[in-house]
Amino acid sequence: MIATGVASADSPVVGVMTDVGVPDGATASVVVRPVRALRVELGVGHDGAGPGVRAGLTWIPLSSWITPVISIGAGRFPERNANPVVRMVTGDQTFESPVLDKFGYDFAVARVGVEMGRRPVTFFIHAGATAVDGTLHNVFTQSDNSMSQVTVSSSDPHVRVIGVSVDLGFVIYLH
Amino acid sequence: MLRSLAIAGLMLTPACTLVDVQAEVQQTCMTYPGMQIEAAPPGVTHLSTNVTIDQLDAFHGLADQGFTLDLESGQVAAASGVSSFSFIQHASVSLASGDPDSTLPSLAAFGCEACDGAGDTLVLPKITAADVAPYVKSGSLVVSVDFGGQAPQMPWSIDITVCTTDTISYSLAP
Repeated sequence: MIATGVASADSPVVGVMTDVGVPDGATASVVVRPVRALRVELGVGHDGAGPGVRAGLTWIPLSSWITPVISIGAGRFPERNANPVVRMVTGDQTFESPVLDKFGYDFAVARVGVEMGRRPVTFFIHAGATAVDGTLHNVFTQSDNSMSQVTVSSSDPHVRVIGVSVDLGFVIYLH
Repeated sequence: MLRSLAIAGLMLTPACTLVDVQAEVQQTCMTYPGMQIEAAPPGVTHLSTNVTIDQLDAFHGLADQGFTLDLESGQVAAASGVSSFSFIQHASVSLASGDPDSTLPSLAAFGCEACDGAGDTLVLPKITAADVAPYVKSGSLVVSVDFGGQAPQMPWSIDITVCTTDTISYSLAP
């Protein structure tokens, strides 16, 4: 039973979504289903260090109570000081790393999962892969060696992580 | 059914990677300033000089963390005595370990034939693709510069810069 037609009177169209995941962080989104089998998501998130944005598309092939789904998305967490979140997690109030003074990343995700429920609430759990890109700052500090004739300069390292991604949350359809 | 799925899962497990991390430092450059070159007698068309550098802190840090340090480019800049390198026809920079017990071979790192020496800076493209991390780990680096051309009959000095692109990758599998 695969239905991909336009939204019918029984199909929810607009809602709000909240979820937590890696590397998405905690996210709140507005969702729209322009056709029954497709959900468009646009939201804001928080990765612990600061706010970010995320957009996604989810294909929902079945209109049954439980359905497999395929989801893709992308987001950005702009560079922010991540030292406070490390201090909060570790309890070490003296922690300070210059590498975390400006911490941010872009990410893309591709996941499969299941969604349960139909209207007004749908729960979901997705798992898949993610690519995370970011630049680390202040990794290389100039050595304070006035006796040295040699000067060394270095660009900031660019880091790409390919890894496992998971996400779980729920959607409340309003209309 | 469950047994088949479990076997399939176990067979796929070694092929899975939980996390793959790649880091790249696009450019790390080391500059040694004021490398002195003596005045050449008339008619001399080949000059060679070298310096041993043991202040390799940043390179050491990268090499010790497992980075590959790939040669990227070299640069020679006039520091005193000359205002352009128009007298240079060809130039090369080679690197070697400064450890007398090292078995690492000398690397022909950067160079140019029919060099464009119109300005006061000579950019030397790499002529060898090599990881210099083992050389850095050996403790010191001997940088040798060779010039071909009508050598100046006065003392002059150059700043020499060696640049690498540094990469590291790490995978975690179940």
